[in-house]
Amino acid sequence: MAERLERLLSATSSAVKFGEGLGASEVEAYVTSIDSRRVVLRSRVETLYTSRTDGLGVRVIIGKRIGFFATSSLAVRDVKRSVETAYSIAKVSEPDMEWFSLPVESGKASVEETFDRETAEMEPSTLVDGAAQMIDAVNNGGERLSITRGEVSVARLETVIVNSHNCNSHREETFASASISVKAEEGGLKGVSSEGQQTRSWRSLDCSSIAQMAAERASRVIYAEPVVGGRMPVVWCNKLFAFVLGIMFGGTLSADSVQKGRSPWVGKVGRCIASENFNLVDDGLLRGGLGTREFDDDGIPQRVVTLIDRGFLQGFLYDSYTANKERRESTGNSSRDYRSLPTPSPNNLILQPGRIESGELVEDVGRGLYLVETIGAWLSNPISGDLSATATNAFLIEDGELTKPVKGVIVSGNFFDILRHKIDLVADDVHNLGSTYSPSVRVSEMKVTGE
Amino acid sequence: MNLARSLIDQALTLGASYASIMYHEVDSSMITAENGMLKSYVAGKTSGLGVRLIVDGALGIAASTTLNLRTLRQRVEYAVKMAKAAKNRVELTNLSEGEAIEASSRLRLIEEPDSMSDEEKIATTLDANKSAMLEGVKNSVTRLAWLRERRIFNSSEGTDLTCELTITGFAQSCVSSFQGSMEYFSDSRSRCAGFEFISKTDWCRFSREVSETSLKAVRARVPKAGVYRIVADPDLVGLILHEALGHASEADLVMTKESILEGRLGEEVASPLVTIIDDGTVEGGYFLPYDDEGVAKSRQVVVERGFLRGFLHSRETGYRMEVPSTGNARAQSFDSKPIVRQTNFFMEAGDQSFEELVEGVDDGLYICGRGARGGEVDVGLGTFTFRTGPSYVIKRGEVGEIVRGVSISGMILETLKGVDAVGEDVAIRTSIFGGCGKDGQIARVGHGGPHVRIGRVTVGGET
Repeated sequence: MAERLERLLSATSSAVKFGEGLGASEVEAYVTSIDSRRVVLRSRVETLYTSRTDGLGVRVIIGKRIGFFATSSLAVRDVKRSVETAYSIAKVSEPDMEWFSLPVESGKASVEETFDRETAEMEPSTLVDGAAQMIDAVNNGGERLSITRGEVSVARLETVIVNSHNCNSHREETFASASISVKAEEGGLKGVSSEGQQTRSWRSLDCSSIAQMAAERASRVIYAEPVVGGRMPVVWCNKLFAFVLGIMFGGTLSADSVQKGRSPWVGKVGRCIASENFNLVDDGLLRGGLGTREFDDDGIPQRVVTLIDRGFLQGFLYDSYTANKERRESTGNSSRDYRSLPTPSPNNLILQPGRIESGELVEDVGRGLYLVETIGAWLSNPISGDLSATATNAFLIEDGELTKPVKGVIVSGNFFDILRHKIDLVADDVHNLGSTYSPSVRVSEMKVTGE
Repeated sequence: MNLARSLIDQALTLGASYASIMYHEVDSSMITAENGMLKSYVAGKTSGLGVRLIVDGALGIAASTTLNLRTLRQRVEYAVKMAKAAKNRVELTNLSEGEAIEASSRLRLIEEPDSMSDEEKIATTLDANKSAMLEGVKNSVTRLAWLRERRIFNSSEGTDLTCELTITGFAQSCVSSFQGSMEYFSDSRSRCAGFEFISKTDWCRFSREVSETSLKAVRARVPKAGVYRIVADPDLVGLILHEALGHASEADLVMTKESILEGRLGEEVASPLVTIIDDGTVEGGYFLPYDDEGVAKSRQVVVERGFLRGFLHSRETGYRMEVPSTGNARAQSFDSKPIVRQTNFFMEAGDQSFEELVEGVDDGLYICGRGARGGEVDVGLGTFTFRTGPSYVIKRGEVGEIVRGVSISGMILETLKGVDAVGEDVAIRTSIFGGCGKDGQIARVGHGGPHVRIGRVTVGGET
């Protein structure tokens, strides 16, 4: 493996040296190498994938002119050609008057559980076993169940960033994930459900229970129906609410969208935008977090950033470029792919837990909706705050109890209004959907359009 | 390629019954101008090699961007181990009959992308961008893009293919405002061709026309919702056919009963005026003489005078349904699995002029696909909804005022049965700027047709 790191280090440092030799004032080389192993399944195992993909992105700066080129080949001749191309693009580009410099405050924070040796060096049979467990779990659930698509995967990611200042950083991470969609059919009716888990190590995945969960939920909603609509309390399950948070805050708290005037939070720092029980942080150092890293994609140490404190907006997420524009410090939120330039985005966006158990969210609800899965929520608009989703897996709450399964109702409301006035309870059951973490919450009133 | 031969031999030695190698290389560049300024010039090259192998009926794919034999051999070894570990748990994969083909196919260019200097390319983009900044236009974005793609395919059956193409394109989008309302409109032109397509077109005029359309659209009213007789332009015909019928004709979706066309071969699914084709090499379309299983792409008749004649197949679906492949297996890249995709999917010409089509409408709409804003399709139910581009009212046989905010919806088979006249003017388009997504893979396609008149279409607008 040392040989592989050698290759990444040599590609990056030679790119920077070569660019400087051409006469560039600053050069940055960002390289990633990904080992990915993946099994795709339906009712049986379908396709087995294994790949190693490298990528190098070179930024060449001449004064305030910026050129960029990306390549998937780290061969010496391709690295050289990439730098030359980025250099010639910089020469013909117009100066970016807001350019300050490439990152100068590089370094490493201390983080835990972002790399797992066993996951990195996974045996082929282990991964296939995981897939088999999912298939068995669904098959054991009875004849009416079938898998429409499933996948288990592990990946090992190595990143090296070198720039003309003092940055020369290397990090190594692992990821494991399992996901499944199950269909249950009976008497011409059908129910569907999807479940998944994303972690840093294979060991912490539970393929069987993910599949069981999807199977149970799919069965549960075969006979589910829309209910009479109206305005009512709506409980959002943790992972589902994490999805909503990602859509509403993932882009809008980025300094890039604020500076371009595309965020609804422009000019709102210090103002109350949410209820008192709403505390949102971006914790780039969360133990084992999906977005936890020693340093961000600019090479700057990640940290904990308070975004909303007891309802008050505290600030935004910055990478080096957007921070320089405002002559302030980066928050360590640079994120990119080797093919693109960095932009600020959340590392681990976390809605802090409340003190009550999730069961208590329904206790004093006379009539309401308990949402587990929806479709169409991604069409919600983070600029206008319009939130709308169609329930595919939900329960009716009657007198503090989950009574009958529900699907096909549309839940809608304005997220800004919900945030400010209607999140009346926050539970303690935080779960992640990718790198967004949320507990289950109760919204005191939303519009439910049903029968 | 010796590398390919050596990897194929390795896979066979390790127990594979079939192995193929795909080398895929893409060189792409894009210049973007926004509001009179050069915004970005980004370029990149990706290349890599993928091995597809079948071991005891298990399908494995091994891929790497590093083209060194040792790394590649390790990947192949790992893929074979995975395949063997999955024995007894796999859906058995088999391929329909294939023949060994040796060929090299290169799309001919007149002007190489390098024939125009970077400065000229930037100036072309900026000039067009400024031409679009008419009074009332709040935002103008112009893009110039070009891309070269090379695919080399080798298989254990002896196939050895090389395919190379260049595509160039130009896009303009505008946001216009008028009395507090905003309208976004965009349009683009792409060609599988060299820079002659860029140097011989007046892009300032193109961008200005996009801008003028957006300024007219923002002042336009929204038509009343209802059921109309409509004339659809080639872009809209292409969009509806690709999304609502094309996907339904992909054999993998037919096999899993996810398609409304399942079990309907030989049935009447459209008006007798309608013939629909999928062809890998047509004027205006994407250039696909061979697919990613090394099969020559045939001209497949999907619908012939209203009757469903065939589906689109890969060798995998062909084997299961006992028919030959139609050459529709396509992989996004070297590390993905070839799946059934459309190539250039379009309706054949009829015999009516545009005027004749419009003359037959007393109170209807001329609906355009240019600037369409997406939609939703259920391939199983055959339902579709699209938000179309700015369109026009037709009154007593004449095209009149422009309208905006038009959406159409319906059942694809009913809509196709409602086609009552087909134009003589076929236009097929492809795009460098986007593609069609399926199973997480993006593929460039072409689609289109003639102008078509449809008896009854539900149009959403003002209620």
